[in-house]
Formats: sequence, structure tokens, C-alpha cells
Amino acid sequence: MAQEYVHQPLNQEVTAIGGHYVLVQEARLPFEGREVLYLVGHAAFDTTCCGAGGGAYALVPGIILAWKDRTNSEGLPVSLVEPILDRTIQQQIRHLVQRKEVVQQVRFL
Amino acid sequence: MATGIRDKVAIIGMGCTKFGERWEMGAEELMVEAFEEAIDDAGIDRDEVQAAWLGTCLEEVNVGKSALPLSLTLRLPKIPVTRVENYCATGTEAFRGACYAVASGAYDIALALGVEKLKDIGYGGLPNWGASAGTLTWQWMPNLTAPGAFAQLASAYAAKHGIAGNDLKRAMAHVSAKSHANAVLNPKAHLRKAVTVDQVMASPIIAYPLGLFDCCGVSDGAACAIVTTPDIARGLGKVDLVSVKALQLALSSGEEMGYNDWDGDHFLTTSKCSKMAYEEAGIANPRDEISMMEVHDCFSITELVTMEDLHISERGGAVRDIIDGFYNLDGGGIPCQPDGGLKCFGHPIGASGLRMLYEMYLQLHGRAGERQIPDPRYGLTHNLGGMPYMNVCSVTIVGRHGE
Repeated sequence: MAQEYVHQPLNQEVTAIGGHYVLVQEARLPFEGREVLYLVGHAAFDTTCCGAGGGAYALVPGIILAWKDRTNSEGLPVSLVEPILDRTIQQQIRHLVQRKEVVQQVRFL
Repeated sequence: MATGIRDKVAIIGMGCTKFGERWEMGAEELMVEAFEEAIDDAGIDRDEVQAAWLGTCLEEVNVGKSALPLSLTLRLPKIPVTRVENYCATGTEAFRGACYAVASGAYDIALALGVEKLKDIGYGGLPNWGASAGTLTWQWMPNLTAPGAFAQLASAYAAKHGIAGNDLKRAMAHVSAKSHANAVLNPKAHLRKAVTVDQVMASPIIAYPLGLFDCCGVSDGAACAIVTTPDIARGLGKVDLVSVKALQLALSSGEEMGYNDWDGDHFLTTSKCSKMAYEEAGIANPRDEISMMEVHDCFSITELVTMEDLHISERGGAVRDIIDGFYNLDGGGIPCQPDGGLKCFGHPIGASGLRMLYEMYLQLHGRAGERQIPDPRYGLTHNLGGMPYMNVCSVTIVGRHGE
């Protein structure tokens, strides 16, 4: 099942009431003859009800089917990806991402 | 036989500070700011207030004990003043005290004020209770965070209704994006910044499935209400009165955490409390009759589940209603969090219940500016203090007097 991924701008702070995050990197990871799109973000939680914290994390939109082949109404590039739903494959990709990046979380969109 | 409070009490004045990181002010100045707006709005003299209720939750690191912080700050003329605390329903509890005082005939005019000032304590979140927790709290809430407990609510809800994790996550993102959009229109909101659903989805996880934008923060702020009887209000020259239709409170009995009957997917208290409130207000079909709501969105999942516990979305149907925009300001349904909610207006615990009523009051008077809802009839506010398995729930309904 393919779905669109709207590429978020890098190095822009996105602020919530409890903290903020910044996406700092977008990468294409070779995986079994295809490429997996993942992003790395940094976050700080400084005024949440549960306290303070933060860290680096990765997001995995999925396997790239079409790369930035259009833009949305806000002018942001849009790719077509295949979400990774299989838990075994998720685990393999999680290991690969964590070998390349220092991140505490790897989340599959 | 009890007859309830419907139309026995009118709100004649309200005030609310800007919520946020109010480094320039202490709790006392915040109380004055909210009170001055309310007393100007009521058009009465301070000495006409006959009794007052102060709501503040974490008084040990805030205003201190007793009701003296309010009576001293406002120079109230040696009248009865009571401090109340009931977790996140504290502000509503203060309002309840003032309303019952007027409805009973004990006083003609009463004041309720809620305040919390936590930004100066040197800690980003809510402080640990420490020795003030009581003897059983550490057994009830052992080594537990609020996001952790509410994340379990989300997981239980998804499991019960067969909703895929990412579908629930996207619905929760819509909840947050909607509140952010509303807060942009509100000059008193803590955070006035629109976000997209995609930006919410790209935020880091706090406790799965709750991410950064699914959690509310901590704010400084105060809010105030002045109430009297409808007859006295009219005698003061007030027209188009806003009156109280229902005031209900429901607290956990212990069955949620003590037995296996509760499946962890919703709030038993809210479900019962809202039914009691509708009965008191004479509302038969809340989905058709409620015009607008401010609910306790401490976490996005709380707001989503509350839509069902308020008997507005059917069980398992809140996701669809949210995605369809039923709770958006311009969605044609029941706008929820028109002022931005806890997540964007902010959450100074003791003030939050009164802040919600302030928005309903502005809306009913047609004074909500860019976020004005056309011709509202009933406004509902909801607070939830504590955890899904053990909590304090309040539901208040206000509306145009006599309708």
C-alpha cells in the first residue's frame, strides 16, 4: 500500500507547548535492492507536565517508490513510499539505522 | 428533592490573564490581572463581593496554604474566603463553591478565582509531590508518569475498537492541529502557532503512541468569575444573561484500578458525570444541543476518548468524527477547544477550569473575536484530574439564561 510522504523542511524548529523538535537530516538507506527513506530529528522537552528531557530520533516513512515527483499546495516536495509494516523488517531496518545514527527512537510512520 | 442548579446562578463578570511563561509576574499579580478584568466586566465594586473561593493545586510551591493569598492580594474586606483543590478540576471546584453559595441564598455575590504559578520553581514539569503526597498515593501511582498512563489508554482504545496504531496517531494529530489553529486566533493563548498534521506526525515519541504534540505543557495564569442570582444581575442592569445549567463532579471509586471490569479504554467518571450534567441541564441529545466545548486535552487521546464519554461521538466513532472535522471551529459540528485548549492556551492547573468557562462566557456574549461561534446556545466544559484509572472529573454547562 503506497502512501505519500510530504517532505518537511530541515533545520526548522517546530514548537509545541511542551518543547520543540528540529529535523536535521533526510537519508536514503539501501535495503534489499531498494531504498528506505528515513529522517533524523533532535528534540527537547523542557516544559511538559512530566518534566524535562530530550534526545535524537529517527522516522522511517517507508521504502521509496517515487522520489519527490511532485509538490503539494504549500510547495513542499512529495514522495511516494511504501510503509514498512512487517515487524521483522522493521527490526532489521531499526538496527541498520541505529548503526548509522545515534538515535534513541526509530519510529515507522 | 434536589432540583439542581439550572438557571439559579448567573455569571456577571469574568477575567483571564494571558497564559504562558509569565516571568514578569508572581501569582499575586496574575490574580490581580484576572480579577480586575472580571470586576470591570461585572460593573460592581470589590466590596460587593460577599464570599470568595480560591483554586490552586500545587500551593506548596506556588501561593502557599490557606485562602489568605487571595484575600490579602485583593484586599477583600474580611469576608469568607475558602481555598479548594481537586487536581485539574480545581478551578471548576472554586466555581462550584461560589455558585452553590449563591444558589443556596447564603450570599448574593460570590467570586471564584483560580491561579497557578509554576514557572519559577526551577523545574520544567509538575513538581514531585514528595512528602505532600499522602500515605497511599505512592501505592496508587507507583513510578508512573502521566504520559505513560495516558499512552496505555490509547493502546487500550485502539485494541478495543480495532484501530490501527498509525490511524489512531493520525486522528490524534488532527486533534492537536485543530487546537493549534484555534489558538492562533486567541491573543491570550500561551502558544499561537499553527502546525500541520504532518508536522505533528513527525514529532518524537514521549510515551508511545503519544508524541510531543500530544502532550500539554505547564503555564502560568489566572482566571476569575463573579456570580450572582439572575434577579440581582438584572437589577445591576445586565441583559442577555449567561447562567449555569449544570455543575457535576464524579470521582473514581477505586473500581477501575482495583478490579478487572474496566478495560482501560475510556473514563468511567466522565461517562457518568456528563450524563448527570445533561440531566441537570435538561439536555436530551448532547450531539444536537451542545454548541461548543472546552475539554481537558491534557493529552490528545484524552480529548478523543472524552468525545465518546461525553456521549457526543458514538463508541469507537470519535476517530471518524475528528477526521471529518466535526470538532473543528468551522466544521459544522461542535467546535471543541475554540480557545486553543490546554495544549495551546496553556494549563496552569488551578486556573484551567475557569479559563474554559471564560471562553464559553465570551462566546455566549458574542465577544470571542475571530474565533466567534455563530449563535451558541449551550457551552460545556470538562476537567479531568489524575490518571485514567483514578481521576476527578467535572462537567459544567452554561448557556443563555432561560433557554
